[in-house]
Amino acid sequence: MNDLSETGLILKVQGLGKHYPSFDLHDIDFDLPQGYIMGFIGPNGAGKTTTIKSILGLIRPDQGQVTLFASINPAAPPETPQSCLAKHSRIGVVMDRPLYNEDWTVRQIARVLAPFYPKWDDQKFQQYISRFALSPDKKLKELSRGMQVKLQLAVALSHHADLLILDEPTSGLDPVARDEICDLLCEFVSDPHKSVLFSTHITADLEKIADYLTFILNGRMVYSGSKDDLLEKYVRVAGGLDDLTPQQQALIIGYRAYSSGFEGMCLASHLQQLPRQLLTEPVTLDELIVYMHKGEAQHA
Amino acid sequence: MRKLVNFVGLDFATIQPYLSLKTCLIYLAVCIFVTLTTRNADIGLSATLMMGMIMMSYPFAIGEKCNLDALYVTLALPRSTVVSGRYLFTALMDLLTAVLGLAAVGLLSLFEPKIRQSLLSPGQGLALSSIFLTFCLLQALQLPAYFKLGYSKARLAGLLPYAVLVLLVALLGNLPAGLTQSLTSLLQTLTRQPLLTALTALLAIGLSWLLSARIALVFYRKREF
Amino acid sequence: MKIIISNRSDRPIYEQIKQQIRDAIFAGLLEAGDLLPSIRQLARDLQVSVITITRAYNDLEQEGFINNVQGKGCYVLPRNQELLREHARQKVEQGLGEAVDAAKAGGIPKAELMEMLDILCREEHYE
Repeated sequence: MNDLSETGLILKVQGLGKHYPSFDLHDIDFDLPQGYIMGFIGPNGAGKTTTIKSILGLIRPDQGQVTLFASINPAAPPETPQSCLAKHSRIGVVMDRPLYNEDWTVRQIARVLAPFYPKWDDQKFQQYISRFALSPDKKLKELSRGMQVKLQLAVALSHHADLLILDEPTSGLDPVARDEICDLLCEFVSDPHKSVLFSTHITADLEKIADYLTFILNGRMVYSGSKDDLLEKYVRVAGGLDDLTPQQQALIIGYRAYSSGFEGMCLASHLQQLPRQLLTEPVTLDELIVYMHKGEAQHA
Repeated sequence: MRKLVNFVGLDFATIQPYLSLKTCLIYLAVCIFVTLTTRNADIGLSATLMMGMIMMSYPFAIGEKCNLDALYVTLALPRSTVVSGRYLFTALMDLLTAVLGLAAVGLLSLFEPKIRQSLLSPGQGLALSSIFLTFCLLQALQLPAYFKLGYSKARLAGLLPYAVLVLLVALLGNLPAGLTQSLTSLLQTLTRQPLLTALTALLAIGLSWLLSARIALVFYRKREF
Repeated sequence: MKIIISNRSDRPIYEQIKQQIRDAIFAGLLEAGDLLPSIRQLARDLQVSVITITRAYNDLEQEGFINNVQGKGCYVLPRNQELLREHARQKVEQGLGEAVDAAKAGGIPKAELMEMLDILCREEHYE
């Protein structure tokens, strides 16, 4: 069952770095294979949007490079700036704020954008807007945030994008709208040639649907790989205050002591070095981010 | 080439929601009002062109508000296409307002002999040429500023060309007598040769725009969105 | 075949899926030669990641329950007697383990425990 090995890379990010006066992004490195969903997680201000903008070519990274739709065919002609740019029309973009004129109507947006996409499918667009209950005569600024996200998705799906890049698509949405979007993403990757890169700080959305995770903290990459591996690598532990020796306490990431006990997380491989009476349970993504963040702060 | 045409279409679509009948009527009313009160076709025409210039800045203003520059990148438009497309759009807008302004003034001249007189005066070729030349030079200065700084930051810088213009006019009024004389004779020669004048103006416009677009592209390539 | 997942369980989702498919095979709900839903279809239906399903199927293939035919899908293999017995042994062990723990906690002697097992077998006519 080599579902993993048969596919090519849809996105390769190597050593990406960007310097700003108040913020630095360092050495972001990850691969996204065809046919999978990658969650891009980290607290606000960790550098998620900067990375996404670098991938989209909206900003120029100071270090590293981004390769889109890497050709598996070794005989393919080498990249030129034009061929590199042309690949952008194979990306569907969903940004926090849509990149359309806010006075355009839904209908107008489709009409204006269609000529720029070689594979625009107007029938599909009509299907999506009726499925999402988007009225074609409403102006963009009159749509709710959830509707704006769905409109961007409708555009992305109607031009047959091979890679969907979403920047915080579910923030500020109600549970119903979030579920609809997650469902749509699952539907999208049921085609094994399509992939999704999905940045969010609402990790509940990713807990189930994401195949891979890239996790950044303060502009640095903490993890990139399969979600299951990450969640199995760590265990949440809790116990009494005098359960741990100082050496054992040093193994706890994001250690927090309170009047009647402590909690934190440790590497599953360190578990046998800890006393057996501790409570241990699988860690959730949210807990993982919090403990990692605390751990980082404690070490700094 | 197709991308260029599509981009110009995109620019027109960008300003379309703001190009309501009401705005057009207001612009036309101002143009008619100015022409009637001054009874001078050239001043009326200048007023129309002036308003055209405001329209031409709309894609920059809206583009900045809605982050359309980022949209152009996601639509796989090269920056050179954006710059040349925007210049083409501006030229088309200029042409459109010029034609509309001329039509309006021409229509008014049918009813008001003074306006007719100003429109048909022997110096009209020179007057029209210099009006167009002035406006186009102003735009050639303004556009790279928009491309470099974006709309809101460049708006102040955009006023700079007007200051230059006022300064120039003031300077012309206070030229030494000898220079004024030679200038007058040059103007007389140009008045006698309207076709040559128009061609020279056109050439000057073309060259200044080419140079301006080159500079704008250098600026725009450095922008991040 | 029914596959449902619990969002509150401590058991990983791939385990839950694996377990249910295995149970369906033991219960005869899935027979040799039956085609399982494709990985991507099942991932889409259950709204879980493709890797999760891939992992469940990979495990089932390694354990000899199913066979992946490249480009066709995953088929249920004929039930292997050895596997069946192994599975049963595991279940018995688990149940007996619980019984031993309960006996220990309740202070019931080992002899009485054995006797109880004997009686239970007789009641079920299991000789």
